[in-house]
Amino acid sequence: MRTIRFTLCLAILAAFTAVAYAQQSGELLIKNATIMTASHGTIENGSILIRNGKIVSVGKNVTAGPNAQVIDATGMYVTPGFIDAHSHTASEDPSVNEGTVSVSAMVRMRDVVNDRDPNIYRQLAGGTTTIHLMHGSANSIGGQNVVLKLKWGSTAEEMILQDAPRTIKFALGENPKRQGNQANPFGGTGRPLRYPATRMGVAETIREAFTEGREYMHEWDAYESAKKRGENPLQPRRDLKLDAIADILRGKLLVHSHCYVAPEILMLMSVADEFGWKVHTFQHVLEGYKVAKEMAAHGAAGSTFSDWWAYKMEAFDAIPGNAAIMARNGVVTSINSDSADLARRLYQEAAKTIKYGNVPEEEALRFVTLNAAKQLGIDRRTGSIDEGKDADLVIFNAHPFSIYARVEKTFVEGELLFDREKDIQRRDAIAREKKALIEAERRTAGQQQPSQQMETPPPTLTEEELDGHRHPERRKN
Amino acid sequence: MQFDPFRDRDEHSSIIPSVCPAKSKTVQESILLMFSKRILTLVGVFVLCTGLFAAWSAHQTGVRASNGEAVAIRGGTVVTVSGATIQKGTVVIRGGLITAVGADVPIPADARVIDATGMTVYPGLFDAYTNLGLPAAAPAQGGGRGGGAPAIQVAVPLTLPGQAGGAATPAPTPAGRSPELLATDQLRIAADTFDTVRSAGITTVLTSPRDGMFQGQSALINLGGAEVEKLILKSPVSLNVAIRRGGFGGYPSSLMGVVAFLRQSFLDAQYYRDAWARYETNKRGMERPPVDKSLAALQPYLKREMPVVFQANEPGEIRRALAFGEEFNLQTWIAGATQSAEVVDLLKHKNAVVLLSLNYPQRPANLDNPEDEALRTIKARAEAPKAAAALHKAGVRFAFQSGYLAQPRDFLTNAARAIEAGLPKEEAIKALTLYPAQIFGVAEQLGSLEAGKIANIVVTSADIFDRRTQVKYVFVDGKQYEVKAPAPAMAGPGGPGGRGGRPGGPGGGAASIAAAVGVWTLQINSPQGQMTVTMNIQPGAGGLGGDITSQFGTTRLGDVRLNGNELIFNYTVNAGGNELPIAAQGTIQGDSIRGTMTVLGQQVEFTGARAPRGNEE
Amino acid sequence: MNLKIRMNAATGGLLAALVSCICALPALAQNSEYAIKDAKIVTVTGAVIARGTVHIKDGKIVAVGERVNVPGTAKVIDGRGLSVYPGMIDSGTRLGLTEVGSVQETQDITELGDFNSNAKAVLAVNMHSELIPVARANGVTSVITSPRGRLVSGQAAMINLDGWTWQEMAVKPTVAMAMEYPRASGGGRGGGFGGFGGQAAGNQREQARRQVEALEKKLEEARNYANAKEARAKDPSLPARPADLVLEALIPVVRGEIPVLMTANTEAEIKGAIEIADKNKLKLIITGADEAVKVASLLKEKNIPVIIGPVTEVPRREDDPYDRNFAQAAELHKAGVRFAFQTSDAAYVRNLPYQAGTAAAFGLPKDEALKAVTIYPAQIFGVDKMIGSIEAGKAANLIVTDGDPLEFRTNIKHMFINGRPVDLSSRHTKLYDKFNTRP
Repeated sequence: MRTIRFTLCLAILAAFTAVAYAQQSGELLIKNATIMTASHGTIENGSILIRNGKIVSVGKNVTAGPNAQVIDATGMYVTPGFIDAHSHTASEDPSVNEGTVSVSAMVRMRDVVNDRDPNIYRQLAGGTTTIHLMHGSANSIGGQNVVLKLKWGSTAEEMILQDAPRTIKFALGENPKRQGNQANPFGGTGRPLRYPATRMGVAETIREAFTEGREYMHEWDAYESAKKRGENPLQPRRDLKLDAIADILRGKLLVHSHCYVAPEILMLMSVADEFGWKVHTFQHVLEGYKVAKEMAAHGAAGSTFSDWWAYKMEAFDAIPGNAAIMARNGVVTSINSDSADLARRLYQEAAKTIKYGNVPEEEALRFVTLNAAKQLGIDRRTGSIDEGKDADLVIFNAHPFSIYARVEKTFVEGELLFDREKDIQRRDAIAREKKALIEAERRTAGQQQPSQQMETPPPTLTEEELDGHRHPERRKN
Repeated sequence: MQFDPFRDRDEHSSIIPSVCPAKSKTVQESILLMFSKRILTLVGVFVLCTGLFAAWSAHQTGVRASNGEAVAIRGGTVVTVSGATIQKGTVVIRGGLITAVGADVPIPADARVIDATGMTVYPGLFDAYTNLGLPAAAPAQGGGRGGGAPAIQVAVPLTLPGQAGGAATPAPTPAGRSPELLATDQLRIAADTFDTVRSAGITTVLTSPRDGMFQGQSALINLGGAEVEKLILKSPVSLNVAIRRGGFGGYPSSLMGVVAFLRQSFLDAQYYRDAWARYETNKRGMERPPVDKSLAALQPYLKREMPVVFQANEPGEIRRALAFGEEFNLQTWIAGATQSAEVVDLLKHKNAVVLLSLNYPQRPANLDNPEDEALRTIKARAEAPKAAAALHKAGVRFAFQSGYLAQPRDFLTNAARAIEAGLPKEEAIKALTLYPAQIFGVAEQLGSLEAGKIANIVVTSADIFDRRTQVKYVFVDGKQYEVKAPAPAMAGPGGPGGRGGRPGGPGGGAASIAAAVGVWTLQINSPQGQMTVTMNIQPGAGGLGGDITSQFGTTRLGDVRLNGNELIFNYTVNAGGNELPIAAQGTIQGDSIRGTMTVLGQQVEFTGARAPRGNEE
Repeated sequence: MNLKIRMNAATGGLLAALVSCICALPALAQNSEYAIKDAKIVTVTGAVIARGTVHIKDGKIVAVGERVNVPGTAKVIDGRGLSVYPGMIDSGTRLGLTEVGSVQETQDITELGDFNSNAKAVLAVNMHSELIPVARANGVTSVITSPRGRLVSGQAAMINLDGWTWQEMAVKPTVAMAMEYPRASGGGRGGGFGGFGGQAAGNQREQARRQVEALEKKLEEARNYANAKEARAKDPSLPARPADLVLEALIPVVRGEIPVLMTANTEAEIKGAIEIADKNKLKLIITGADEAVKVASLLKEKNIPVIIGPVTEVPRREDDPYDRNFAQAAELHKAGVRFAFQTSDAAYVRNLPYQAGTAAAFGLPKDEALKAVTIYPAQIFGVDKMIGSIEAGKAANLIVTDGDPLEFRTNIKHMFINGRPVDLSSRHTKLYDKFNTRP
């Protein structure tokens, strides 16, 4: 027993010394690095000074106090931590969909954050520091999303970026209409099961919700003004679904809409115009390149894939130059993952846009940093290497857009939460601890005959397996 | 009736939802009408409860009066729990009560004397959370209510267009959404229901339905004879809630949906309170708010008069429950808490009471390679017995509960493991006796061996935590019950998935579970032809569990329940990226099953057979 | 109009005239002669030629070297500043067998029944799939395309990504017999028909055992069938036996003439597959091979190659090192196991070079990474006499690049398949051009 506890302690120690050292010293200096700021170009042989989780200064001539921890990053590249504008990582609910209703605006992903999702760490190991944990796409109006800093080891509540604007998922096209028109498992074709069954119906579902939401908002407005007049009105019943719709109308809840084809992109912008709100960001938006001018005019951003296509009919016109054309037309563009795999290598996804769309290097970097931050409304805090911003940083061993690049260290708010060297050192300890525990369990099992049973733990599924609403079949054979 | 697609459109999140469809011109304007015509029954759930309370008090007196026999347990080590332990002490019982405890108390002349020399005498043990005595499923509701669904049964399952105007298929499990459900209304006790549990030394349990989100309100009962009225010590004790996903057939199907549903319910309860308060102040000229028994049932909990018990084991679940409780200023208790060690400070800070499960997680039986399991899963198992010590150290109030253990005798074995893991022994015995009595507010009557308390007593051959110890005598309300040797792999308190077993039966357990466990090949007669799926049902800690494999892949079964030979289960298939909930109900006869599945409101029949069991393990 | 060149405006196109205006159409079957001059030539099997010439004639590489005499009739490509590599080979795809993932009608991958030894991928390949030109975009010229999802899924083909007919495309129409080792644990395979469904462990093990038995029985039947056939050929007086297409197709398998491409992922599955192969004298290639590292010494000892990838898969188990799949190739290389990469996909075949490159980022030597998408797959599938390197006599499957073909920013300037220049435009480049210039 004692040895178990000892190895356990070792493992925990190993895990936390890494975290601790950047914090305790107060100051951390990363020097001699090639710094890709994402906001103001690349600084050769530059340094970054971090204090209390913030970037204090960045440039060629940065001086730190005598007690500062120093990382010599000669030959290394530093980028801002990557921001994944479309993620389903860290959801306790594996389906990420409240798919029973056409409008699920009352549900909130922040209620179901799973701070122990191992994908959090894996993504840190790929330099991703912030994610937009989104509701699924089964509903025309889906649930409310949440922005997380990937502070591995912290609690869900601590990971939630509390000052990020609230956002809500919408979904257009095949997914929300699927329950309306697809054959159910017991057969039948084209049977309308859940409204809507067409893109027309998707539009009307949204219009209906906003019609209702507007009345609800007026009801509350009337109540508030009656109160102001000194009357004693009965407070209207709070309806969480309509609360959300009213907040969109009030501009307090930003719309991130899943979409694919050009007509539905135009549709949502027109519905938004009708009710007086703005589509903040189109998600996926694989045909954004066809209506990029209209998106720019509306002020909508676009968050897309680098090269996904052909996994469904509405993705058949998807092209890897989508991000480039949107950006060229003035759309604030990002590249997202929507996948536990891609979220570990957003920098590679960004690199592809250079190839397929001739995007300038810094713009490509912004696709996975600053632009994503803008789409989430957190660009004042993170997304670039600038003084005053959170020290969300990644150190690479080579240029991040090289296939041979590897993330060496990742910092979230100044805390070193991934360090490849330490990760490798830790592997043995984990294996040993596991062996010891298994052995101990075997011994106890020999002593007693437990009669109680335990549920088999749910298999660890990849997000691909979990959410058919997102994704092509990309299973290994 | 013509299909109107708008009708089905939007099953609401609300506790009082679609009664007022947005399109309906007649009801649109009245807020109050949101409560609708369906209610009216329950202004007086409280009145009723209060009545019941009075009734049981009276009955209990009757019990004592009817039993004038005196019993003296002499010569044993008397662990009073509240005071010092007495070597070679005597406990005297009469009229259902303890009349004297001490080293030298006189033995009444008419007393039957039990020689407990070499034995140990304890107060009867509590199981602080179980579903003992309750049937598998809640009684069917919804029927005969006209158009109105029960208040919390919000989302009518998705219906076929053709059925939209007519009667919707009733949800397979109306339970799980009804906070008004009272354990006392559901107790079904046969002569032998409590035998096994009582024979393990347990004489008092908090029992509660265990379906769905709003599971109902618990009752504290003594494990005496078969008359329900004579068992009840206190009811209701708590409202029991589980924030867990799925299995309700309709909204909410997701975890975040469940949270939203609960949140809306408590908001509605607040609204209900305010609407009625307003009406009460000035009835003249005001439209009367409708009565809703679900919302009425939530009122004492909003007022913190009684606790809301959340089932939660993992730290994340516990934090989620505590946060929810705080949102509505509830008196929040946690049941389960097997992984609570790392959140003890938070539990202390929130002043939460923990009903700590002694059903420690076990290694899955069919593991190919133990290394396939995640370290944290293995660790969680290793750490489970340490939770009690951690709670104690942090000063969190807690009591032990069985967590639906299959074998009641494991209750004490596992408590002993908590001691091995650092819980002081005297704390362990308290967590089985005095602490639950205090926590449930019955310390005046129970929890220790003191004159004047109810004579719930257990006499064991040795120290209660000794693995070889045997229960020799059990008294409940002063009445001695035969100690029956534990039948291996037989009836238990709910058992792994037994969920109480057959109504009137011995509390379910392994025997009845066996009726469902196994690999079933089901033939589904779909309109598109026959479809074959494979269903594997296994016992699990939270009941039966398993998975089902069809052409759409393998999915875990949601809620699996066995009610007699009726198997109820549901699952969700992902058909081309589309999640479709399927609810099924079948009757098992031997190795065959026959029943119906409901998907999107459409019913299809299925038949199936169980594969002969291979020699596993 | 040359779309590819517009797309990569920065690097420009030198060969507009040559690649011509036929967009994404298979190359014309013309007997042409080409010379790529003054380019860096990475032959893969031999030394790198810093500056040399590749001479192509009638579909073949005629000569390669620093000094190659090229007749005046050859069309010359100025290779200054460019590099020539063999075209890349993806060792596992569904290319040509699927078009739109969610549209069932476009899937030709999984046939009904457990034993589909007679099902041939090559007969179902859609030569004109929109996915093929996209697959070529980063330098892949040949792929294994394979049926999937059954105990015996069918015959995999090695095809070139250009041709008007499947006959033109086929490097080897039947290059391997695709099988799947029954899963003893883990999730189901989604198959309802063959009884491969995922069930809880115990039963699944039993199910898997029965499947293995069934497979071995089928192989035995095939051996008997082959023997009887042989005997009858020698002695026509023997009674005729009714033909069985399934067994017929297994004859070359049991004779070890064509390899079995067996999907096996866990340690137990891989060992099981090896056991079956040993017992039945099969020539084995393991694909999937998740836990190949655990079986490395056995694989090396038996000289069994493995097809791995996509290396970008998220590790299967929570406790796996985060880079487990990235680093797998490096570990296999260290252990001396032969391997090649696959995308295991159709729409993402163009990402094959990044599979290899990522493995290189995590410890695999760069030249090994390149070999694992060129000469190694050719060797593993027995087509190394034809493709996989730049050698005189081999088919002229070549790419001309402006850099390391495993790098993101490298562009493919020219591609030759069977000695014919291939149009590098695709559905993607066409849509890009159309909307990039939208008024």
